[in-house]
Order: sequence, then C-alpha cells, then structure tokens
Amino acid sequence: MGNISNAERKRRIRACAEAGPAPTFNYWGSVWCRRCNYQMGIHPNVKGMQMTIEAGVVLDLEGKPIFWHLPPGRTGGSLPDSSELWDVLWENRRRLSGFAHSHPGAGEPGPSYTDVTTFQAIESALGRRIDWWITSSDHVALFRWVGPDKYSYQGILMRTEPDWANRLRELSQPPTKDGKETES
Amino acid sequence: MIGPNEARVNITWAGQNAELPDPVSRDAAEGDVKMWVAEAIRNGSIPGIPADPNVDLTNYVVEKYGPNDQRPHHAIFVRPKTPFG
Repeated sequence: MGNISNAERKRRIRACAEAGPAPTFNYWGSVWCRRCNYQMGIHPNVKGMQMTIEAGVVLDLEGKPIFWHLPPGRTGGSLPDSSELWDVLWENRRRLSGFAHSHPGAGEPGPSYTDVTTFQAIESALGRRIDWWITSSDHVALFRWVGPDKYSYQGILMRTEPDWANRLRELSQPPTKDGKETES
Repeated sequence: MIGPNEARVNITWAGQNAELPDPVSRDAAEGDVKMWVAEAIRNGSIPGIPADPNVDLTNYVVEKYGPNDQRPHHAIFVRPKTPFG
C-alpha cells in the first residue's frame, strides 16, 4: 500500500466500491477486497450494504428457517463454535435439511477449511448428509458432499435465490449503535 | 454411582446419542476423552451406538459441565464443532 493519507485511502476505497461488487478473498480470518486490497469491514459494496458480520440460519425440509444463528462473538470472518447451534441441529434433526451462512462481500462464495471441517463433523454426528448454503451480497451457492475424501464438497451457484437469502444478508449487517440487530 | 471427581461422558455419533458405560475423571484431558470415546465406538462398547471401525472425532470438541438441578454429577459432552469461517 505504501504511505498514503487517510483521505487518499478513503478515496481509493470509495472508487473501488463504485466500480462494482467487490471480489473478495479470505486471509487469516478476515475478508479482503481482491481489487483494492482493503478489508471488507471498511469497504461498502455497490448496493451500499456492508456485509461485515457473518450470520447463519438452520433450514427445515421445506427450506424454511428454523433458527437464526447470531451468536455472540461473530465477526466479518467467522461464526464461533456454539453449543447452542449444535443443540438446535440435534433437536431438529428429523426435519433438518441444511444450514446457511453468509460471507461478507460480493462474488461467488466458497467454503473455507473451517467450513468443510465443520460440515464433516456435523454430518458425522447426524449420521446423514445435509445441504450447506453460503451467501455473499450478490450470490447464493449450495454445497454438498461428493467424495471421495471426507472434505470433498462441491457447490453450485443458484439462479433463483431462496426466500431466506435476503434476510440472512440483512442480519449480516453491523448491529446498530445500541447493539440491536438490523431489522427489515 | 458417580463420584464427585468423576463425570459421565455423553457422545453423539452417526445419528445416535449415548453415554460411555463407565464414568471418567472429571479432570481428564480432552485428548484422552476423545481417544477413549473413539475406541469405545470402534469396538461397539457404547450401548445405543453401533460399532464403527471408521469413527473419526478429529473435528469434535469436548465440553465439561458441573452438576445442576437436573443432573447431580459432572458431565462431559463430546460433540461436533460448529464454527464457520
């Protein structure tokens, strides 16, 4: 980056945001813009929606939300381990179809190593495979285990977005100053 | 009877939830607990969980809880991890 002024830094980020959806990548638990190399936490996308905090949702067999997962300690790069989430998954195992979580920024989402190792662990405990959805600000992808090894998950981009996708994006925006989640 | 320095171990594997037949030390190391549970699943010694020679608890976590109103003894839960990145 070199030594640049704060004003120049803001100008570059604003120009990048105006150029279109930010292509992102994960690095050491944070999400960065591949185009301007600034962190997505300070980088709005073109719709003006900052997806800076990950969120999740447990889905039933009809694809309807059972539980919105907004644990304490969630960040722009992660959802922390949660015994509450496991309790929800286990209690609803007979009507569970999958779990979705958001990734900040735009572009085609893909699972991290943390994601696929969690997918594998949960499916081992449930004794069956489920659907794993990941959203970005402009795409939704569905991942399923295809084998042959335990972390081989393959995704497809969805042309039609599920009903819950926009709500998940809303819940991926920063809490308001009084600490409340953003409501639609 | 479970002693004050012992804990009952609960495990969820392959769609089944069950307990190790014998209690373990409440201070047992997490790695030891996972090793004992994996071995018990491998040889089918946990009632309610069929033997599974391919058991893999690599991505499991161990949680310890003290006694409460519903459970008068210490408990150790071995469950899948749930973080996402």
